[in-house]
Amino acid sequence: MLLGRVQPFLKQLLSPVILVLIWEASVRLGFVDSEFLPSPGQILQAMREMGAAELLPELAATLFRIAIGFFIAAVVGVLLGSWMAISSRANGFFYPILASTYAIPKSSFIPLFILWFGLGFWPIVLVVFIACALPVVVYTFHGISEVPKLRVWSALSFGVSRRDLFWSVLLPAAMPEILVGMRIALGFAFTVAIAGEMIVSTTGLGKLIFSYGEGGVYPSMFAVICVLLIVAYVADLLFMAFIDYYLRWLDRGHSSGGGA
Amino acid sequence: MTSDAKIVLANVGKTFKAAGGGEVVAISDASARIGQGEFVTIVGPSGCGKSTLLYMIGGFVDRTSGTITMDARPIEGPGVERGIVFQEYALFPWLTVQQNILYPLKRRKLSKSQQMDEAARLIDVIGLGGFEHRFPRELSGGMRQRVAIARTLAADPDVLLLDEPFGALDAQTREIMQDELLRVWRATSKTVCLITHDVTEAIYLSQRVLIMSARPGRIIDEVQVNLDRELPREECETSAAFAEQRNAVWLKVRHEALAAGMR
Ligand SMILES: Nc1ncnc2c1ncn2[C@@H]1O[C@H](COP(=O)(O)OP(=O)(O)OP(=O)(O)O)[C@@H](O)[C@H]1O
Ligand SMILES: [Mg+2]
Repeated sequence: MLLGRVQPFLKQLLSPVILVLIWEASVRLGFVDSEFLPSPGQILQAMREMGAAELLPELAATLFRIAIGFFIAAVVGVLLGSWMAISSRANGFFYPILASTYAIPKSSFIPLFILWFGLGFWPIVLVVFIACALPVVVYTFHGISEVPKLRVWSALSFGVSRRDLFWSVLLPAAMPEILVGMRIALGFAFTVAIAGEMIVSTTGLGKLIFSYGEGGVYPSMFAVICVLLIVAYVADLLFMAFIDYYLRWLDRGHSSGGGA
Repeated sequence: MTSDAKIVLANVGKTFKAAGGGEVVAISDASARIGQGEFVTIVGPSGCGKSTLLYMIGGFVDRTSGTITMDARPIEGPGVERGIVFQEYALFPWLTVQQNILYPLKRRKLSKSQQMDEAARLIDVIGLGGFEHRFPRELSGGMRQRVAIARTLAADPDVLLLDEPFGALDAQTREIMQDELLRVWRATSKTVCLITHDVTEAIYLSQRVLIMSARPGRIIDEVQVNLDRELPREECETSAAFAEQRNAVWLKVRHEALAAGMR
């Protein structure tokens, strides 16, 4: 049982481990100049020197911005996506706005947000919100639109109000789709939060990466990137575990899972 | 008919827009009266519009022409007086067996303990004791259909609309559920309208069998069922009267099925 759970995890570690070994070897053998690309060993050393005292507060700042932006996007995205799915008028109004922002990199909004909110907390939360809201809206829209009509009819024959129908049938039925949207949003949240911090922030992992990069302290810069990688990966794993628990009722057919 | 009309269909028609741009006339000029407290079955060839007709009585699908009234008032949408069991299970997969059955109970004016008692009783009736906390995906098709039936009964509707509710069940479970339906019908003043492919089931259960034509569906004929309802099931089903009435219905249905096959 335990081995069964650990084994796929170990398999996932195989390719990164090989990559790190090749990387370490090519720096040591002199194929790559460690001035430009520090070896994994040097990066680990830099990480140790920085320690929790330097990294944790920055990590906390970044995670806090991500959490706030993601949470607001989840709530607004679900409500807006549902509204668009239920009302064709709302869909007609909001669809062009959403479709036109779809292809734009969300970090390009940052200068505008700096103009509005100054440096610091809010421009980053806002750009995280914008980046996260879009996938949540799109997936919620599809989830709600595709609720089987017999389920809706059953509920109507039990005398539910429109409000009751939404909370007790439409939303739970759409949850598998909504959670896929949220998982995608979580990935976007990390991307834009770091990009944002590199531009405007005085705290956060993005800021650290930027200042170490500018100062040419590449082992430390890579150390921060590694921390970021690990944290983003763990966040995704935790979110997946939450999805698996939350959707334990879902009949995933005969597919043996794997992936979203 | 001895009783007052509960549901009246007058010249009901339904035309669907087909995907290619054409039209599908599913039902054309269907008329029928279903008495208060009556048990009626509808039989007819596959695709003749039985489900569509039932959805219109349920108020889920708009009719294209004609009128449908219940207690002399036109049906304009779904209502708690009309409960429905669909051909395919329409359970809420995110709720357990017990939660599914509690769903309509919670929306009635019942106390918490009455809700729990009624849910327990219904779970007992459908023979799913021990499965209360399972999700639908953990049940067989027949078990899910039993939960769907119990959930509809939990709403305690005046009129029961049943769309081939026993099709997925094995012979034994089907008999148990049929007798349970008869028991509920006799114990209450509910009006029942049941669709089936199974002529034996139609004769055993109902007072009157309505026969639909091949598409476009119409009610073309009906057979009044006269059986000694006091007899135990085996005797009833093996009686000469049963065989005779079943054959009468069977011949009419077969005629329509052949007509449908020739299209
Ligand atoms: N939403 C729809 N759009 C277009 N055509 C439809 C729709 N629903 C039903 N039809 C058509 O209407 C006709 C009647 O369908 P219906 O499901 O009522 O038949 P049925 O008698 O219940 O069949 P079965 O015995 O196989 O369940 C069919 O030809 C079907 O293709
Ligand atoms: Mg049907």
